[in-house]
Amino acid sequence: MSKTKDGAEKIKRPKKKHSKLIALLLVLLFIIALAASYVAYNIFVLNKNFTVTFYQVRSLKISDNIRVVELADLHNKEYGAKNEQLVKRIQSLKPDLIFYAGDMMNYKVDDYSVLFDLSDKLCKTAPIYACFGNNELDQYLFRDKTFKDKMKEHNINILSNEAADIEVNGSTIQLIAISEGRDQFDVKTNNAQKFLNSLEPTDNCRICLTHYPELFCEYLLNRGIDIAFTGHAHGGLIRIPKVGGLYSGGEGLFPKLTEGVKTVDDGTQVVISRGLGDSTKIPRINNQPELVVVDICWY
Amino acid sequence: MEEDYNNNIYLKRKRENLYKRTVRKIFSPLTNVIDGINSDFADRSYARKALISMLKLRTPILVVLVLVLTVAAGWFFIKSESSATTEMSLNYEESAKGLNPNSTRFNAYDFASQEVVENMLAYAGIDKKSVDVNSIMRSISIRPTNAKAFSEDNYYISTSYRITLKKPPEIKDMSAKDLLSLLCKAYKDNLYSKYTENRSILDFDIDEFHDDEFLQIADLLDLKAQQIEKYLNTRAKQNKTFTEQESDESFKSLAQKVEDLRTYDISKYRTFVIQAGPSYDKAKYTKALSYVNLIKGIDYKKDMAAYDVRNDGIKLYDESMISVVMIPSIDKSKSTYYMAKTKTGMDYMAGQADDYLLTAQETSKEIATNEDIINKMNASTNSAGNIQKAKDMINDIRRKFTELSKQIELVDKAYVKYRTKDYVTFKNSNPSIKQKISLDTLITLAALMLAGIFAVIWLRLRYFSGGDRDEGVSTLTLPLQR
Repeated sequence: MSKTKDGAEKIKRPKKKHSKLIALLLVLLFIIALAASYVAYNIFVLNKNFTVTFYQVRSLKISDNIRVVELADLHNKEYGAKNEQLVKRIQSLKPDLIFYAGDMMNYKVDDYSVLFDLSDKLCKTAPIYACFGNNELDQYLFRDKTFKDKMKEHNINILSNEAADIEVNGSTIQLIAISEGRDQFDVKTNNAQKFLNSLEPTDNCRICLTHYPELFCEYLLNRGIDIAFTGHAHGGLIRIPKVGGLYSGGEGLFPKLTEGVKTVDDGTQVVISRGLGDSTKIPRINNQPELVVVDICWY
Repeated sequence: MEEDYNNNIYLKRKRENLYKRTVRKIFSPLTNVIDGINSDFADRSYARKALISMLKLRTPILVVLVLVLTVAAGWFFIKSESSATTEMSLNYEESAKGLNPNSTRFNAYDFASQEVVENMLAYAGIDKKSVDVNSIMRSISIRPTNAKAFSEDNYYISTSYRITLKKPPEIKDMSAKDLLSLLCKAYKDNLYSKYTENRSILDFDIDEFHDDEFLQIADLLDLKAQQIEKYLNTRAKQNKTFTEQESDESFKSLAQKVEDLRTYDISKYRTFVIQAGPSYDKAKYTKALSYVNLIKGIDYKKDMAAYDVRNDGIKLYDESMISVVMIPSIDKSKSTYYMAKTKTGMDYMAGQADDYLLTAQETSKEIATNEDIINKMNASTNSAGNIQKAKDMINDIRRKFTELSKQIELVDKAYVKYRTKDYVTFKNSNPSIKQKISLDTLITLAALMLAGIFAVIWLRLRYFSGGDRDEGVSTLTLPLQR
């Protein structure tokens, strides 16, 4: 037993052996609780609502600004009864055009009421133009040959490897829509490839509507496209700050084209929507569903 | 009554004791450590003892610090998401003089004007009644980026500004960054529509003339073509070589096209209208022209009278007296007097007489033209075929005008972009994680917390250590409550 300076005996206090471990566990528990709360907040709050993202792109080929609202990857999801919230928000944005960038419904689900109810309401706000996503294309090719006609009946101007000249705010834009994904492009009988090769050069602003952003890494380069509207990547499902999306079906792990406006090698401005719905059970984390609004400005 | 009172006192004391015991139980390990150090290091100063206590208690202190700082970092991060900043650069020549592109005074605070903010809300699809527009206006901060702009000695007109917007809490489904981008768009739209070159001359709708007589339409078309031609020639003077790449058109080539339209199509139309005399109401129109001539006749007489009066006045003076008049003047640069030859009242009168004569001659010419038109119209037959032909000619001119307008607009927009290299550009500043969690504030907060803990321990050691255990509970709570 040690002694103090004045000779008194110093009593050693018994040390608590696991205090550090308990403290560490407490901190760890706190961090896990925080992370769990964040995941729960994403699943039960953020993913049940959508955010509106605004982008501005430029085209000198138009004479007045054009506003486009892009919907992608809805996968039959509903925001409010019959997508009331979505319709109301789109109406408030006063778009000149509404684009569906594919996967608005699910393959093998023959009830199209979500898509058609939505379109019946939205067509009163602005004309709707759509391209096929992988879900719609499979449904059309392998399950329901009348699907395309049904879409037209519900005021959806569906374009599949086709072009259309549209007059908006005093400008003519050439809208082209590509149906096939990267896997089909290599096939010799590919319709999209044939369609692209048959396109004549134009002085008008050429806008491309396709579900697959990854096509702009190769197949859709140097095709005279000014602006493109895409989806498919679902924002990379889990978004890591400073890194971006974790995974997308078209690009695999750590995909590059998952959200925002990217200017690719030939100068095309590619708008990528994170989408409005889900097709897998993996929840979106830090990746709220979004409605994309693009103002195409002349200046 | 007394029994109730005693019961209440008893219950109150019981509650107080329970509270004291709970606090003592929670803090007893910490107070034991502090008390132990006080007795173990009795010869050391209280400050040293407090430091040693803190070292001994490092684990709980660290846990508290981590928890508090994590919560604070999260709070700062969320707070940072509710505001966004961008840097605006003015890239046109006049900006260095504090002017807009059309040479009106530039005001950076237009950014926070009601019109711009309301447009921003409209672009965002937000009903302006659902938010407080004034509070949004107040939440926009505009600062020149160049520090010299603030100095009175080095007066400097800034051409770049830092704009910060705090997102109102009632706007929920969009980010502050997006709201700021829409504010920038609203500002740009405002700038381009109000303060850049006035291009309204190019917005031409021929249908606005449909109520006018055919001959009046010819005058109006000619006037419009002249205005457009003048606009194009002004542009051509600014840049003679500019050519729009896709259409391969220049301002000069477009001005020539407008000139061709005037001298060929509009002239041809006018000649036809005068010769064939189509009219919706010939009698009314010729009567109107006669009335115009009557008024013009009066104007002519007035102008000639004014000319004669001035001429007579001049003749009354001896020309030799007024040919040269010297008046004393000052040369300010040399501060000396000199005699200058200057104009007199007679010179002005002579100039005015010339002007009146010229105006009278022009009026006379117009009267003669109108008389000629009246005679030709009276002599012509106002057939339905002629009216239809005149309408067809107008439609043809309309088509050519529309085509030309499109070309002019395309070239003009390309030129604006080329000349200004974007009047206004915005560069969004993306704050780093360090800035988002406000690392400096967190470090300060950590230091303050450590200092606070040190102070509490020091007070505990200095004033409240030792004594009766039961008393110790009440004394222990005091410093901790501070």
